[in-house]
Amino acid sequence: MTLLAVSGLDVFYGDLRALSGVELSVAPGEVVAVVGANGAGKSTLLKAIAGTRRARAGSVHFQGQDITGAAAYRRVKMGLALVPEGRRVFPSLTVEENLLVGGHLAKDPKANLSRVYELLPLLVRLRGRMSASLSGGEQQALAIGRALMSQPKLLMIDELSLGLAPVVVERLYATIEAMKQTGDLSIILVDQNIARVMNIADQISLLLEGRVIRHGPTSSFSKSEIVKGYFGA
Amino acid sequence: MTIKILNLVIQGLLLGGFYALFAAGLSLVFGVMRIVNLAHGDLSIVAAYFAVILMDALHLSVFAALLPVILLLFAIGYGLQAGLLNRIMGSGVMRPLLVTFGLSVIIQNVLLMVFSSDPVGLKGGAMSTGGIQLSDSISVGYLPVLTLVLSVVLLFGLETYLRRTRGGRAVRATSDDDETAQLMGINHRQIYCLAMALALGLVAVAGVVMGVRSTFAPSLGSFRLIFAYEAVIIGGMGSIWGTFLGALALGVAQSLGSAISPAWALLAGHAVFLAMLAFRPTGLLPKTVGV
Repeated sequence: MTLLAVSGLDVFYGDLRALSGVELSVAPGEVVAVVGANGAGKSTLLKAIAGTRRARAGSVHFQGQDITGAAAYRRVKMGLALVPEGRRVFPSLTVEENLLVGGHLAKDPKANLSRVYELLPLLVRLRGRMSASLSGGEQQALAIGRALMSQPKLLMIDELSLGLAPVVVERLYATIEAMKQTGDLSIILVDQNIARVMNIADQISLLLEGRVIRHGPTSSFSKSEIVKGYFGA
Repeated sequence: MTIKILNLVIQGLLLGGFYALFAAGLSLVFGVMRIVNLAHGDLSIVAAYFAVILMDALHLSVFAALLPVILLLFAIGYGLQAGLLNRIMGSGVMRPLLVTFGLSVIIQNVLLMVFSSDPVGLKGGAMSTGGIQLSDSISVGYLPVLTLVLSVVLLFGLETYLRRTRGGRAVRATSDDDETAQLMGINHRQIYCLAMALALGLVAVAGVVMGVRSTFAPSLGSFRLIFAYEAVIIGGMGSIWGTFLGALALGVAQSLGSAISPAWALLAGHAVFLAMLAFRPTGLLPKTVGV
């Protein structure tokens, strides 16, 4: 049983083809890393799955349901969440308000709030702060917490460690590892940190110029193959 | 002399409370959608004519007519956004300006056709003429005081809604970043409808108050828009209390100007507006939190 099935996906920016015939499937509880050079189409793929980018051809199925044409806000209700590239916290809202907005559709946002604070304890002492005043790492933690507020079945994270200090990255990966251990959350991860990605991912999808050139279990990839993938070779 | 100036300032603040009712909705819509609704003033005139109809047909007092007029304008705002303005959202600044300008022309002409250009007013009874004598040379009217209180209460209510409720937080999140708001499960188009509905609900109050203060005619909407727009710019775009302060500043400037000569009333208001644009274009209170 697959949770997410992307098939034959084409996405365009005007006349520019960003993705062509992309296939991707994610099983429940699985962590899939999407690897590729800048401009390979990783962010576009996540946006197309989240619904903020429209597909020109192909389909996206989630839990067996065709969601190719569904609006982004409807996909959240089904259990999809995206931590967008650049964090995109709501700058004029406090940390706790950001989290509550993440739980916009939740029946009991307060209960989700305590779960998120448990998973990301650094957010507790920041709860009253304006989110614009947070450091990059704190904003990334907030963005992840905010996405978890909707209790997703599939969490997508775009550029997890971009621009963050190594010690912060380490803590974020520990959090992701903890989420993975619960076993009821699937994750699609886009990140440049090769060692950590290979450590946590069950499957890797290698993207080159908008196409999946190889997909398989992490153990089937050599480190040099992944490194080449990031350079688009 | 001091007493005279004090009196002018008091009258100006009361006038500012009246302007705040017009400006708050304009500011809200700008804060959430980054569009300026050029038909905002005309819609306040529509509200005043709705009150005329309700008071004539059902023999309602102006107080009893207020709530139905607010609800009507709320519904018009929602429908206008859903049916028309949502189609042009995200297509740059020119289209919303052109569409709302066209809307303004259409509204004025329909009002002229239906109601003619004869000025009409709303009967407010003793409230519209009576007042309180504060001292020998200072007296304030019931209606201006009530207007100022009403605008503070409504803005406070609006702020509480935006700060404390789930829907209000969704409005502020959409105002910050509409694409990311969608990733939270928020239907941003519905939020736009809600913002426009709230804005027109506020302008409905402004229109009815205006009708009690003085007579009005279909062509008056543009003047209302200018004052509201000036208040928003003086106060800082997208800040509710900034807009309120801007409206008070505009009212005081006009009041002080009118002491020099009647022509100076409007001129002094425009001068403050232009000075703000020149020296502090972000306004008194730039957008700080939320809308």
